[in-house]
Amino acid sequence: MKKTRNVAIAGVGQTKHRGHREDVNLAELVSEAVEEVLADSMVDLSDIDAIVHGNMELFEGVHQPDMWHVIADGGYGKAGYRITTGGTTGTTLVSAADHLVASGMHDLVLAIGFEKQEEGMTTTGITNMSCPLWDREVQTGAITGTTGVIMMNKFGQKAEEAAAELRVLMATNARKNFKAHLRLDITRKDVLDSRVLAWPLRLLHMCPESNGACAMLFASEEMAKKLPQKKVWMHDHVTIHRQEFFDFAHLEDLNTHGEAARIIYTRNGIVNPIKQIGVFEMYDPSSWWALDWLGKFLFMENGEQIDMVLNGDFAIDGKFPVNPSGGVVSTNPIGATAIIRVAEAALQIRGDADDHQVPRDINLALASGFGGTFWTVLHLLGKDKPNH
Amino acid sequence: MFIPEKLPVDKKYCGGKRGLMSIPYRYYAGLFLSKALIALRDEKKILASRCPRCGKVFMPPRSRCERDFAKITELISVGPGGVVEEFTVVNYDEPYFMEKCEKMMKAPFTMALIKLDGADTKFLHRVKGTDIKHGDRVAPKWADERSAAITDIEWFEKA
Repeated sequence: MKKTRNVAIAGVGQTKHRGHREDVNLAELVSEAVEEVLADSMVDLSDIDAIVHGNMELFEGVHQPDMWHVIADGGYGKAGYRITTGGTTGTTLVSAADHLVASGMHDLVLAIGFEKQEEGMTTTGITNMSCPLWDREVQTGAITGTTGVIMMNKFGQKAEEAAAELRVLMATNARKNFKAHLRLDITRKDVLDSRVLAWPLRLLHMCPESNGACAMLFASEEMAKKLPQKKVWMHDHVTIHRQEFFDFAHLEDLNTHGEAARIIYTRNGIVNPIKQIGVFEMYDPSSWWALDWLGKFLFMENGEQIDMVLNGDFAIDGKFPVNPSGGVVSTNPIGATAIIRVAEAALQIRGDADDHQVPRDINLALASGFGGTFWTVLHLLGKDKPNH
Repeated sequence: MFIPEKLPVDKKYCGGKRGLMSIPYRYYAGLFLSKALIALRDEKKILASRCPRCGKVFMPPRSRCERDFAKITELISVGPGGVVEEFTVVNYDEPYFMEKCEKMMKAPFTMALIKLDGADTKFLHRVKGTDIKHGDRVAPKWADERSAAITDIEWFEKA
């Protein structure tokens, strides 16, 4: 991607993500993340030029949360943008903030993603993404067993074992991350014994509903030089949209994850992602999708990722660490979910991920967002400035 | 106005669909602002919040100052009397609201932005009657049964 100027991540802030936050209102929840990003970046709010703000439409039943949150994000007198692209909202927030800085429009941009899922009925928002004439009444969001069926037909019982093992790995990672929502102590058997939602997708394969917010600060190169926090550089990002209607069984007509990865790898000279990329924070709404998508992002056409899961290659100390944070199956405040992927990837590069830090130097990190009828936003971050 | 029966307009050539979008929600005030709601119920007291940095007193109370992002932790008693700063007379009872909403008032009455004594911001409530003008002093009429909501004040009336 050709950029006018380089953009750095100058700070990261997150709330603890929890199932219940009756102690705070929506604005107070958001301000917790903003407070933390200001402390992390050691920047004064008055230096920030613009705020990019996002969540899922209708999830809390609030029409203009960006207006409410002027008190929560210090937006008074600043430029404000609201972004809502479904599950990918958080990664789109990052893309937008990156563009706003790279273009020269602003020097310091704050991006905030949030969701307080206990306050609304997500079905209201989700069903309204479907056309009222043809399929709105049966729209249910992300609970689908199709990918699991396809994988079991192709790879047999091994796939089911691997999906369960991947869920156990996410739980193991989440227990090291005190901000994660579900920090479960589970075994493969627990996963396979949990209730069937849509066979072979089971309750424990699926992401929870969480309350939380995540804020990130983006700075121009010139501004970043003056800031004290360790920098992480925005190298590249790609957004791939698909058609409006659902067709989960024929995803190969446009493999959005694979296409996004192909573009990112090609543009950035990545020939061996497993060797060159130090950590991958992947948007994994369910462990079945995660198992399939690892193959798509890593171009494994024969299900090699299944053996890698069973070998423990995606563990924090494995060959290619995936979601050291515990992933989306552990933490899912939807408007924040995708920006958490980028924030966690940045913390890993900085070496500031505390107990869930990957135990080696990371030069490049990948973070993905997923939403809609299979849309992908993919970000590549680096420890060093990109060579444009 | 939206009249559901009017869709589709042309039944012969124009198709479409009627529907109802239901948006249930529950909104948590948070521990800090809940204190102000509970004071309405238990003490018939109106609590506003004061910014520790600029001193601005927010009624309705806010837990952050919109100007300087200071976290507000202090609640102070304001009112109960105040001044009508802006107003409009309501002359129409919307049937939908009269049927669906609790504690509606029959028109005619006045909706007013009232600045309570000691507050720096105005808040919205209804004032009994229509003979209201800018600068009138008003006082709250408390409900006998209170539920920690702004409707614990039934209306304001001229003092």
